[in-house]
Amino acid sequence: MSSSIVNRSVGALLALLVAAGVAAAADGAQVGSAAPAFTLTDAGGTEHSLVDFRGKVVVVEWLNHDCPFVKKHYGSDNMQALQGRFTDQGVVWLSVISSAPGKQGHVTPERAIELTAEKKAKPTAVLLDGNGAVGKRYGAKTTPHMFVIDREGVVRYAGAIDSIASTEAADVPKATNYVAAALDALLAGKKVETESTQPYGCSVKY
Amino acid sequence: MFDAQRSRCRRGVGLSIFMATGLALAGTDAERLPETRPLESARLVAEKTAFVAGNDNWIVLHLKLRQGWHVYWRNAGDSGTPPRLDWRLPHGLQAGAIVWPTPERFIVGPLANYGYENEVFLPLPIRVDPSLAGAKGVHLAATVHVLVCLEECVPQTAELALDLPLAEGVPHDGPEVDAIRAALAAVPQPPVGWETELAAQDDGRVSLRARPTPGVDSIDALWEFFPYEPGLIEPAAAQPISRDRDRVTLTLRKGSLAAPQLGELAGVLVVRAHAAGGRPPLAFEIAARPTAVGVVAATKPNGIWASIGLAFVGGLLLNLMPCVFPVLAVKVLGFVQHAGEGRGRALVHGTTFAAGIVASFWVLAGGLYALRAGGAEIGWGFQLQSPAFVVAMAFLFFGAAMVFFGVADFGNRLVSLAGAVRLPSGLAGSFGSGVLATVVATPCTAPFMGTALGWALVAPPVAAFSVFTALALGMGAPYVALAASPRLLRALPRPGAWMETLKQLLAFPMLATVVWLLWVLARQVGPDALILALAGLLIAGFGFWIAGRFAVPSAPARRRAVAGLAAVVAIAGGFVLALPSGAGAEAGLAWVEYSESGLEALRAEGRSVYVDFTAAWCLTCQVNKRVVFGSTEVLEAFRRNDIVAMRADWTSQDPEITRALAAFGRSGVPLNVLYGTDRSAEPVVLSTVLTPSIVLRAIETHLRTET
Repeated sequence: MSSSIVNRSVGALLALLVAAGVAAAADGAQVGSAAPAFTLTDAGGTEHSLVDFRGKVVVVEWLNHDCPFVKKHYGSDNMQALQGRFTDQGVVWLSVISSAPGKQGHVTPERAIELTAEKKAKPTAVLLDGNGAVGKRYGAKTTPHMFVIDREGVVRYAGAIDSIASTEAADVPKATNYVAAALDALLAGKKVETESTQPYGCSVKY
Repeated sequence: MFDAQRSRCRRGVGLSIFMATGLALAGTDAERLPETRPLESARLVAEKTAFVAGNDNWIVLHLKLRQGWHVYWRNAGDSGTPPRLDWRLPHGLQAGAIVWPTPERFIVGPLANYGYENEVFLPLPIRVDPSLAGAKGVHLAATVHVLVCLEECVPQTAELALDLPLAEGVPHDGPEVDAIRAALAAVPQPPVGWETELAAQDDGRVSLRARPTPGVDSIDALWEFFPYEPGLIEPAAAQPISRDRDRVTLTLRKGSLAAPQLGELAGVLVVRAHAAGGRPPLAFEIAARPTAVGVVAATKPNGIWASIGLAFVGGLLLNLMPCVFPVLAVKVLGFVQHAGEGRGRALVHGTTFAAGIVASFWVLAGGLYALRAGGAEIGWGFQLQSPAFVVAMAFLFFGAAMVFFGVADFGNRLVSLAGAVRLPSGLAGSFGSGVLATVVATPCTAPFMGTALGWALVAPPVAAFSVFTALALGMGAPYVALAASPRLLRALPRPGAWMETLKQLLAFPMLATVVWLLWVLARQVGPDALILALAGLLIAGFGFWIAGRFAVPSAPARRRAVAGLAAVVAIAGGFVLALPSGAGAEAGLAWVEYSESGLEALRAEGRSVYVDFTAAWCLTCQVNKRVVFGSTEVLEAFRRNDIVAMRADWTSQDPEITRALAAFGRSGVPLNVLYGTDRSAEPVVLSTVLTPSIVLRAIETHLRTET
């Protein structure tokens, strides 16, 4: 008992000291844990598995082009700029559409290709998740909801794209971009400082 | 709310100046989806016909949405954002934050949102600087950004304006005052007369426990919690409820941003009647904190095995303590000699010896439960969340550290006693010496054991019993093992200085625990109490030093007695200083001693009476007394409202007071009750932990309305 109490107390103390910022969701993609595996088909018909990208930093972005929050980041060219800047550095950028058929944001593969061209988006691939299985497995809640996965397949960032939860494009330059910060840190071999934030946006239309 | 508004419309007061219209309702999607403009109107409405300089003047933001659409609460839930106002205010005006009415939860597939459907009135104060007195009027302008959603979302903005004159005297109510008052009435209130706490938590879940007063609502209702902070609680997760007599526990699933141990969970607790068309829901603004040592004692079902394992290891470790280790080899050799018949016999002796240890621990645990049950009998709860309990635990650990460091070293002579006691040989002797070994080891194990006992006071019985048993088995195991194979004795290190080193080293985990407990205390009662606790520990530390330095066996008896007394005074004094309570400054109130007849007589006279059910040993009562009656505002309110202060002192059992407590469904103190002048009205039961504002609010709401 004696040392049980002591150990538990000391354990609790240590836990409290390191508690800050440690995510502890029951399910979904958790920061510090292996990213859930998935295989999805892109708009062009090619299959992609997360495991194929082992050794590369991967961004997973939840996308719905009809959502005002997504429009904020595509309308201001913010998202395309991020995609271009980081895919040039070898980062894999996967945009996932989890809208169910009949729901806002659901698109055919052809329309997905058109939209990508229209928006001049530069993801590695646009993945179609019409039954929402991957979205739910990741615990994706909003569009956009961003996940950054390191070269070993461990989730290093989950949450909002930036620090200002609004639909106004004017806020983009004023905000701190968490995804860019996480990617810069990973590419430089440093620790990601902000690992977990509350995502903001439209709900994913499961 | 709607009825009130309709009736006002019929009254047709044409004071359109007070109702600023939402101009230029614009949706960013307006061009593409002209039909999708779910925000039908947005406007600002003032409570009064004029603003008063130097005051907070209430206005509301009224949002009217298309049927079925919603806007968001301050925490939007899984998606969305709350309405936001960008103000353009003249100099001297300041807009306060929106005070949010109770929201609803909207479940959308696996996700959920918090917000308001169809229509909402969001109140907020506008502070007008006193320097503006004399000005003609003011012009308020704002842009409101509203995200309106059904399943899809449309962000809309509206330009709002409000022109109001500045009042010379007291302004009249505006035409829509009812809507504003209704909106303010829908704002969650602090719970009066009951509290909430975080009873237990692990990585994935946290249980929020409430002990509502019967007056608040029947327990048998629907409870729902809305957190203020996004990401702490999963909005879509069910909130299973369990009821245990007067307690309600909601199990909440933690969100991705929740720490493994939440320090506080603030939000709104909504209580709804089961039957539709019943009472309107009640909403309470709460900030629940963990039960203090509950964090340590929170034994998860899967954690109990870890505890048992640790307790076993702890028992093993006890054998390495200076007062126990030298005995080990002697005892085992004893078994071997006694049992000349052979190894099998030695094993039987060893096992019996271990059984003696186990039996002693069981007696200890049993005694503790008797104490606990007895305490409950007299209405004395061992409350984990009580700051006094946390202070007591901190002193226990601190004292343990002092003893381990060797600052004070009492009772080592007991060890030599062990050898002196001659027990009959045979199994009874082995059993007896197992018991004796436990007793004799007390000087070394007491610091540990005290902690275990404190924990067992609050742990579930089965868990505490299992852990005690494991501890005893751990302590007894080496005897069994060595008796089975005495040759192993040679492998043991020789007793020596290393035992003292180990003991001193163990003081550090003890002190680390003190640090943690003081952190808990600071969270509970604030930095002042923390400083008092630290000062108390310092004085107690001095006491331990006196004991260790002067109350030594070699000192003359007289000096030993004086030093011993001084040490006890210092340790006890330090403890009392550290306790978060104290004599209250309650000057100016003439307390009347409680009696049923006395209360009845006062009420017959039409006096209002405040009854403080208290006891000297009830620390919460002492804290309440100091905090509440140390406030001049409270004393003034008592005087102004001619309230008789009555004290029901339950320090020693008093059947009359016990009966009165039972009438309020209580088995213990504190209980604070306010009787209004109206004899037919129910008395108001105040919360267990009081602040001046709680008492003032109770006086305000329950006495003012009667006069």
